[in-house]
Amino acid sequence: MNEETPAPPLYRMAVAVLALVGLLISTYLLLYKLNVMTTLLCGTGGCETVQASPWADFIGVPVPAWGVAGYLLILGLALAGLQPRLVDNRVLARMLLATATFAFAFSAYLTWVEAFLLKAWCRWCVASAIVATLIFIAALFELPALLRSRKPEG
Amino acid sequence: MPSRNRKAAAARGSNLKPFYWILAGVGLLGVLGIAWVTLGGSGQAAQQPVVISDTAFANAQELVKAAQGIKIGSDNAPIKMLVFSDFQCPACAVYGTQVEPNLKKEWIEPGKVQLTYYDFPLTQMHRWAFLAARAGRCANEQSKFWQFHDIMLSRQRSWSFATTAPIKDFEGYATEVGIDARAFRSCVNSDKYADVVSINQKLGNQLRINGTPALFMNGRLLGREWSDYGLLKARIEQEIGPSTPAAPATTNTQ
Repeated sequence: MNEETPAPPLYRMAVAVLALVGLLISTYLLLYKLNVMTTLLCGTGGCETVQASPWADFIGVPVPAWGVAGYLLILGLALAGLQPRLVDNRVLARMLLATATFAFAFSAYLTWVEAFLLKAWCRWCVASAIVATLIFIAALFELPALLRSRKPEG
Repeated sequence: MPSRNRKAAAARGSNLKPFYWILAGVGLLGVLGIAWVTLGGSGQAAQQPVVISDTAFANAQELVKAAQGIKIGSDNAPIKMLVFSDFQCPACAVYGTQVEPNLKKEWIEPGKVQLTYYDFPLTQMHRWAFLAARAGRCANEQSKFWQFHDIMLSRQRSWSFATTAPIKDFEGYATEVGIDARAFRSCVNSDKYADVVSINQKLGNQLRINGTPALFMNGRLLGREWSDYGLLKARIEQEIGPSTPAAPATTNTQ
């Protein structure tokens, strides 16, 4: 084992686990959208309303499909970022932060649609928004390293 | 010192195994959860009719039997009435809250009229009608159909415009009329009675019902009597004749 190998950052582990949770939620919602399931387990949640609304598609693609793709990308980046070779890779760190920020902004937009336009809450969508928020917070830990590396290492 | 840090770091770097185990555990749990829900293990509230084949019943009697009408009143009553109703239909709420209570009090309880309830949810128009009809059947399991029926119609405005399936409202009403909430919940959150309610719709269609509530009296479809107890009363008196124990007319739809 190479002595120079840096430690895998805990926050990336957190991002990976959260992204997996998000991926599962999105997959569940996508299965519903694709009619694999006829009814969502929502309790009184408004998943049917949300999923039947004009906002259920984004650029012609169902929102849960965007979720699946986004979380897969984040999961892939986080897992790659845990590999000793890539722990200090700045491109990867930037991509991870950018993807997490985009996912967070997209979730915020969808939550805004639910709250103000549809006035219906889908618990699973809210769960996904919480996951996206947590991923964003965890991804913010990329910042110090990204900012620090502008200066020469001491 | 830095060397020791690097060694520690290297040790951690090589020790991703526990993390992968956690990740695999989360993934496995999630996949199992989705599979469980997809395969219906958790129960999902059926909200749409199922297709009832035209050849499913040999004759009208079998169809009527399968529809499992819910009766109130004496089997020996000279007048047999049927009502095809939809819990989400405002006219049914008018009939159910203003006309039917009088019918029950003055004719059903004294044993002169027997009323049989059939579901006719207008699912094209009323989003929760099918679910409500199933909920009514779930209440009937606990012999509380009529109590549940009354509260569903009197509170119709509270749940009718819900943007999401008003299962919680139904549970609340069920509890109010003394239904065991747990059994009711598991009944509603399933596809139980989806077939029975669909059979009811088929029966209604075969009887050429084009609106609800549709009242039949001794086999004949009535008109606006549902909207006015005075009209209905006059019709019953006309049917039953001046002397109360008159023989009923044909009961071919019963």
